[in-house]
Amino acid sequence: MAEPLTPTLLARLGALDSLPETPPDFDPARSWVNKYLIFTCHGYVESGNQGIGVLRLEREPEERGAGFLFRVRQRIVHDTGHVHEIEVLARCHADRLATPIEWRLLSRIEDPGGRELRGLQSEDRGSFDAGKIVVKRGSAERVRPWKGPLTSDWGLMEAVQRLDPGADNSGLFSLLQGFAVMRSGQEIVAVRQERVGEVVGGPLLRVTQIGRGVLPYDYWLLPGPRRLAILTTGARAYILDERADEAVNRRLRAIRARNRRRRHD
Amino acid sequence: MIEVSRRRFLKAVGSLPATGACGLTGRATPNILLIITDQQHIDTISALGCRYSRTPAMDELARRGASFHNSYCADPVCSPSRSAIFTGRMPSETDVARNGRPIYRGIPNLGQWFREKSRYETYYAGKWHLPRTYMAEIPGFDVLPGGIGGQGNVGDSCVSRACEDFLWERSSSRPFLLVASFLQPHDICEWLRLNLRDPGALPYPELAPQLPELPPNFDYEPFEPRHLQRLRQSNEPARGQWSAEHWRYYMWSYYRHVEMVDGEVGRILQALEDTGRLSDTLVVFTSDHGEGLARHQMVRKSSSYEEAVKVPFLISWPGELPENRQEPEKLVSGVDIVPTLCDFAGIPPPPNQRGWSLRNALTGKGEHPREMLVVEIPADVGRVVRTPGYKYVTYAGDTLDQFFDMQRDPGETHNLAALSGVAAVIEDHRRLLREWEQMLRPAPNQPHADAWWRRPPG
Repeated sequence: MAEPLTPTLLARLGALDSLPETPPDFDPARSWVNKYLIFTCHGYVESGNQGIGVLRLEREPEERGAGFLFRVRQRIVHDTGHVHEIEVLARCHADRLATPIEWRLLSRIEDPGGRELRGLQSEDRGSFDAGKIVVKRGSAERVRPWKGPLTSDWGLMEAVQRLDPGADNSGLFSLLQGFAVMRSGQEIVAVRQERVGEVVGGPLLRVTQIGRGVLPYDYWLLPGPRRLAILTTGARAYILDERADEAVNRRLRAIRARNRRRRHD
Repeated sequence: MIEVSRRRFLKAVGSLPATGACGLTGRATPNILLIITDQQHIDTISALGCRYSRTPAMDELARRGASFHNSYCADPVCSPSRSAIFTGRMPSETDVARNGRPIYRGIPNLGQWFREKSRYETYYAGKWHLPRTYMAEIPGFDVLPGGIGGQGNVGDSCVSRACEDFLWERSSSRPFLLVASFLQPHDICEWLRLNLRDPGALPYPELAPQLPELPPNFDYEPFEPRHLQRLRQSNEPARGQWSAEHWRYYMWSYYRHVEMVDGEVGRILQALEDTGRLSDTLVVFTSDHGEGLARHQMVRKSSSYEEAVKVPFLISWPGELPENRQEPEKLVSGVDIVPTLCDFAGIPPPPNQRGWSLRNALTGKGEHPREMLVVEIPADVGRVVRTPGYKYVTYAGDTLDQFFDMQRDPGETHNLAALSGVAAVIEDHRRLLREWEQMLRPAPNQPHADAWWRRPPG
């Protein structure tokens, strides 16, 4: 491949032929749903590039208060045919970083036959307030003192849509990846318009984040509605795609068929 | 001069555990958590001196136990090394001289052995690669899911989540052996392909102040065995004609991959602590092989240089083993893992082990018998003999050997093989290799077998 993932390269790989229509009244600060195909690339043109999961983000402003409800559903199909599903319901501030206030995360894993694996379900409840992060699991509670700006990886996908490109967006923050792993020293280092080829019909707004424990994240936004169209980081991309479930279900069916063949061999 | 007699050497191989079914202080056998990363350079843990990464989880493991700085894999690619980690036998014996092969029939893996000989319940999460990278069924283990080939950035979080859930939900009173096998920082391979072409300018100019310096042994000797030359020429930096800046950007990216997996390791350690299992669990942390990391202008693995064959090796059992202990000299091999875990579990190791239990080394209650180790080079093409002071490297069909004084030249920049002054020491290493090879029971049809097992006495 020889070049980092960008919308242009994703188009050349056949992972991006068009983007779904954005509703004319799309407003990043109001209610919306974005669904992404999670696409991974092995660095070759001819093989190993595939959609392996779906990420659905839903934003809903709180009726009272200045925050919003944030629903995350991520479904990833592993090479063995296991399916890992995460659902999050979070309350966030509608601030620069979509700072999480409280969240509930459910995790479940299905075996290759589609049966939920007992003993591998979990529910975490977390909150961030008054300088501490509290995470509860069952009757156990873990308290972690925390100072400084905080977001989550999924929350940042919401927040960049409300970002003012003309404002000073610098400043270090920490990122609670998957509401589980803290990644510190993050920063938005650049916001720029960039031409990315014909497939998306014009320039995109590119927001770049760098920091500890992550490769650079590039958020590619439709400049008009400020909708996050594509996210690229390392060998992974999130591509706005209403039909993402179909692609991932195809992968799952193919893996299950392969597993059946192996059992018969 | 090397003074390891064959009798003394073989006597120590396959030694039985030092104690019976109880721990050092009479406590029940510990749970065992074996954490394996993929392609982790030994010098990547901040608590052990790495300036370019922050690894709080690995740091904590180092503080809780012992860190072996002279730790080597049995073979610097995935499947062969893993076959050695899980059997205690050399890859030429397990029939896994290359990636993607199963362990030779009749040789038990760690899970099978524990199930046969102990009360341990055995679980496996993540990369296996014997033969396939991820498998829904692994002999000897109940499989916890997780993994997408080449994409540790996605799959590893499922490995840690499954291990967390396992620890939280577990109610059995029997001890467990849990393997958490992460793919990162192996994703650097995908990074290399995606960044093959030197862009001529740093893709993210903001990173310029953070880029690591090129290592002191970035340059390499022009007179190397052909295997090493071919390896270098086939990799991305040579094909993409990388600038020094692109090399440094690659190094920066590699350290981020290490930090990624550190976060996942931290989740499991946190779950151990939250579920009250910290003091009942022996934790071993290692990697299947190293990473070139710009030393000798190499990337990835497969070479005989230290950066590819050395791996982190941390072991801890709070309250039972000494904490914050550095072992800068003792030689450790991937084949030592099976006998070590068997020793702590109070069971004999499988037959024909090629390594030793590290228990004595950890407790100081006896002699650590290892005075040399051998690393096989992928596809059985070469051998490394490492002794406390020296390193001898030889490749099948190549008259050019390498010999390094590892005390004076740890970066392997001066090949002494042609110097008459060290001829006797080199011959000692050749003798050690011959004795070692004669002890092995190689699987049939190994490539280059003549070079190693039927080589006429020198």
